Amino acid sequence: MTDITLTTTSAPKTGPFAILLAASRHPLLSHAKVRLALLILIPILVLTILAPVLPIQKPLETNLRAMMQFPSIEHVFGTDKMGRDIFSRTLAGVQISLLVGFSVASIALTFGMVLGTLAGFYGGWLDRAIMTVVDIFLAFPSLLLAIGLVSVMGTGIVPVIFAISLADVPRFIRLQRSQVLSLRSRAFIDAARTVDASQYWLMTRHIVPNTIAPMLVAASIAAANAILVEASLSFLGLGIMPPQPSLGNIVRDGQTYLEQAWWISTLPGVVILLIAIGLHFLSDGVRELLDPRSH
Amino acid sequence: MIGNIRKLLAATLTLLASTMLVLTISSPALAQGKTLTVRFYDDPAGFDPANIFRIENENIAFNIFSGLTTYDGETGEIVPDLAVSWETTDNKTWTFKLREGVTFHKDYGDFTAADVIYSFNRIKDPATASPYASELAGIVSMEAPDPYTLIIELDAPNGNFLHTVANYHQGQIVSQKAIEEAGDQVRWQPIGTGPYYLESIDVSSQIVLKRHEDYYKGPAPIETIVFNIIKDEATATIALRNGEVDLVMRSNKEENLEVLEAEGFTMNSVKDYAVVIGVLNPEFEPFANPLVRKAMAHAVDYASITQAISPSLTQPHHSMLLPWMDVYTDDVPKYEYDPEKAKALLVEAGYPDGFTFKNLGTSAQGVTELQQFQIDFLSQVGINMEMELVDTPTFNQRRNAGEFDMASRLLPAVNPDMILFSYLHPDNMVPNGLNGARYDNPEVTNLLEAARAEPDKEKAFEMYKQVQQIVAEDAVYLATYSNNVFWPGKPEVTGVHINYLAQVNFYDVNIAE
Amino acid sequence: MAEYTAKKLVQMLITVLGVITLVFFTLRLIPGDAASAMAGDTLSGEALQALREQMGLDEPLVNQYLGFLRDLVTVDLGETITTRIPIAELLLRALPITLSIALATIVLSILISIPLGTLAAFMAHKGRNWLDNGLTGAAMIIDLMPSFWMALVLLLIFSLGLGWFPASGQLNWSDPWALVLRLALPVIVLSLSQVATLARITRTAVLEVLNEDYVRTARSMGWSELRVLFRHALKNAALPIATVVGLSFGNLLGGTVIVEFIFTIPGVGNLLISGINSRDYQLVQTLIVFYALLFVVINFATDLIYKTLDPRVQF
Repeated sequence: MTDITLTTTSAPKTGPFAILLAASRHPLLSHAKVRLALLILIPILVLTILAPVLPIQKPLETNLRAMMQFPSIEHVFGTDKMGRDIFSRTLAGVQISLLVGFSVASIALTFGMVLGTLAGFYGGWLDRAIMTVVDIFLAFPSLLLAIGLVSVMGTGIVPVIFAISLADVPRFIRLQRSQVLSLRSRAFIDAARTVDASQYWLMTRHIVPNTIAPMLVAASIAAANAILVEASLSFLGLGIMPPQPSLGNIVRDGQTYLEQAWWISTLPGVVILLIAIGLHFLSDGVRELLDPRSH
Repeated sequence: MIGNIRKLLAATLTLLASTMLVLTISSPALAQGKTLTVRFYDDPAGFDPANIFRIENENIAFNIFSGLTTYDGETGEIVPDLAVSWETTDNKTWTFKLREGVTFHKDYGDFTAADVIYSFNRIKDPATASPYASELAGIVSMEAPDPYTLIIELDAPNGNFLHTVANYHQGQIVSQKAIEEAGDQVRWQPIGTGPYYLESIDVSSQIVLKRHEDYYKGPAPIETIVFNIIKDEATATIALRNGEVDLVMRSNKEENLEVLEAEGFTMNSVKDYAVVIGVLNPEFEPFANPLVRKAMAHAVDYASITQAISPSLTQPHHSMLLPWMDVYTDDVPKYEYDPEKAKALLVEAGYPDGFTFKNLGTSAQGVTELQQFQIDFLSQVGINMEMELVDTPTFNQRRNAGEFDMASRLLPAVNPDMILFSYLHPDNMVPNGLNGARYDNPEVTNLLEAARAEPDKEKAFEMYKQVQQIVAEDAVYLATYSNNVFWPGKPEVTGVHINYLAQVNFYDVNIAE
Repeated sequence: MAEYTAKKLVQMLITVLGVITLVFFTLRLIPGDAASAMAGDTLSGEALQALREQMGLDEPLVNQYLGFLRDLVTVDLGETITTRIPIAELLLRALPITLSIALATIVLSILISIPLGTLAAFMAHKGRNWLDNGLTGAAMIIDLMPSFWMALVLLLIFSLGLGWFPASGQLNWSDPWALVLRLALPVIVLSLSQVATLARITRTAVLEVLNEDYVRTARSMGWSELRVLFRHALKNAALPIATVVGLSFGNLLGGTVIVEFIFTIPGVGNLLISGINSRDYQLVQTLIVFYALLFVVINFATDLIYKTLDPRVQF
């Protein structure tokens, strides 16, 4: 990250560099927490994208002559019982984890925004119907809901994403609804109403734009949580199944070797932690920027 | 402030203590005598011989019940149990002399021939819905001229009938009175004539066995056996290392075994308990060609793989039968790891560029470590193995129906005749039986039928030997590796002999002073 | 208040009925049934069908659903499908264990987090932020660590390494000290993440109160710090803390599933996992409905307490 910043500042003021430079001056990036978050997340992301072209063993490739090796230059995170490269598997796992996190956040955001706005704005029977269903889903502790759903739908990435999203969507609907409710009654909306604005205009121009930022903050937390829930599901044997690596199942498979080869499960565990911390800082920073009161 | 905290603390502790007091349940008082604590690895599912499933439950039943015969803990041979002797001239009419002075647990009286007749008829009765009914289907009649003589007439000669009546599933003898009293709770109220009886059970945490003081061989050395349910392997290992349990029933992870061995625990084990075979479906064209099947066998280095994954728990194996079986022969064609030969065989078979096939598996298990290695090795000779993962019930259904290119099977039966018949006889062809290779070789069929009817052991052995040679030459099933079973325990726990059904007779177990 | 309670009660009943229906029909979507799960791969064809009929799995779905509703209303929970054990008996044995763990976790985490959060707030108020920052950081890391991982590390250190706590064994209710040792690790694992959340809530609530005008006034009148703390700060912080405790109860129930599995504690969570593995619908549906009921009732109680303490609240 430091390297990238250095390159950016010394770069010519045209082309993509100029855009990067401009972007780096954006107030968002001047916030300490956001910077820290990007400092953590960007290198992980870059490594994950570059993984296929890096000079490392493929994630599924086994090697009978290099089993349970301590981290070295050749195997940065060491190797596991089958001689697979943990670093390479971790990067592949990050890819899956990010896919899970991003998908869950997008699904929760989309359904939460649409249904929450409808419920909050129109009220009446629609509100009651939506909220009754929401209450039913909220009656399950979220990990239990996910466990139940995955046991019904089977293991694999799609069921995992679906199960975690289903636990999050009701929470997003609730959040969006309460935001819409409070915005609807605010003074400036009343003002808009007096100039005879249409309901649709009110909703799309005044209410929804004001709800987006807090929803994005919630979404980044949901993404971090999704990564952790996937890990817990994998631990119970209900998540993403080997040999397909996910951060959860790498940690789980490695934990039986904690005494003999701590690195197998610890290093990918640290990566989970880093991603989660990065996402939290990102959401914290964005929230503080948007909400001056918290300063 | 400190005073306040103290008050709060006191209040909390009082609250906790009173909660516990309210919830107090009297624990079973342990009487004097030796107690052995054993790790049990899953929820118990009941111990009714007619409806018993899974090895861990069978192991409890093995100690509660007796059969006419049983398996010797060390040699695996058939030895007398409730029958003291038997005779047959044609493998069709069997006369058993029964043991006198055997009593059932608690107050369920003396054992006689009537109990055997009742037990076998109960299994055969469709109302019992026992999955093992077919095992006893060959019994035409049972007669007891006196209380300690039993004559069983079969519909066809069966040289392996002594396996059928061993202390296992359908062979376990129950008491009519106990069964009728228990109603639909038979599985939780087993009454037998074995060395231990079930004292109490909490299905989510423990099973307690007490010794049967009137056991016909005399009371067992250990008075109480407590089985603690510990499902997580890591926790079970820690529990043994902490001394919380004396013996671990089936430790299944190489890494745990290594730790325990290094710390001086006794690694009780049985080698070659079961063999894993690959079933190749000849309806998938390449597999109809014996050359291709041989190429598959030559292409994978099972010796290196088993060494890598789990040298303690597995070793490569080349037969459907295991070395300790009485009809086993080592004199068969073997397929050593030889990728060049595999490639040559593929060229000869008309697949110079290899082919792609699907290996059926369960999504619950995923792609096993062995399968990952198989994929690697096969790809080096140009064969592309893909995994087809389905949910477990679908897997079982498709495997039974024979709808796959390749699937694997674990062959744990102790009765070699049963294995060969099930997997090689055309009557047992899928979907009616286990013959997934759809093998139908009249020569083998004739040999199998003749061997089963042959009363002369030597002659029967020659025929079984020929069968094994032909089947290996045809590479009908892909032999891969065999499994071992481990019950690590404290050094002072002695006599843990695991038989080839992976079971321990606790009558032999003792704790050294 | 009565009207409010009645309205909430009706809402709760609708939710519960929805939960029951949802659980029942979703579970029927699972491929494979209890019969095939029980038999493993040992049975096929007719033998399996016989077992299925014996277990009552061939009844029409609607009949099974109505039966389930009737049983719940009459509190007749029935028997497990695979092993014919009364579910009420299993639940009665497992519930005290899970509730003890949950209760002990809540008590322990309150005992730790309130002093910690208050101290952090006081120091932050005085401009010394290190405790506050450290707390936030630690809370975040603990919050983000998978609980199964933490459980195993604690087992290795405190059970195997130091030998302080057993890793397995029966829960002996007649020996309270043994019981405390046996449940200590699972309670600690669960408490860690509760402490993280509760301490932060306490800190925020106390800090807010400390900045209120009336507290400044009280201080300027020469009240001692402790008096200010107890008379105002903690009293006002109690409401949000109580709410968070109530709401986190659901997460705690989820968390017990994992610690019960690792520490082999025969609680409701372990029962649930067993039920899922053996495809015992009767058991799983009863347990999930039970969890949901418990959760809904606790939320209801939290709502009412909140409303009583602070009548301004509108829902």
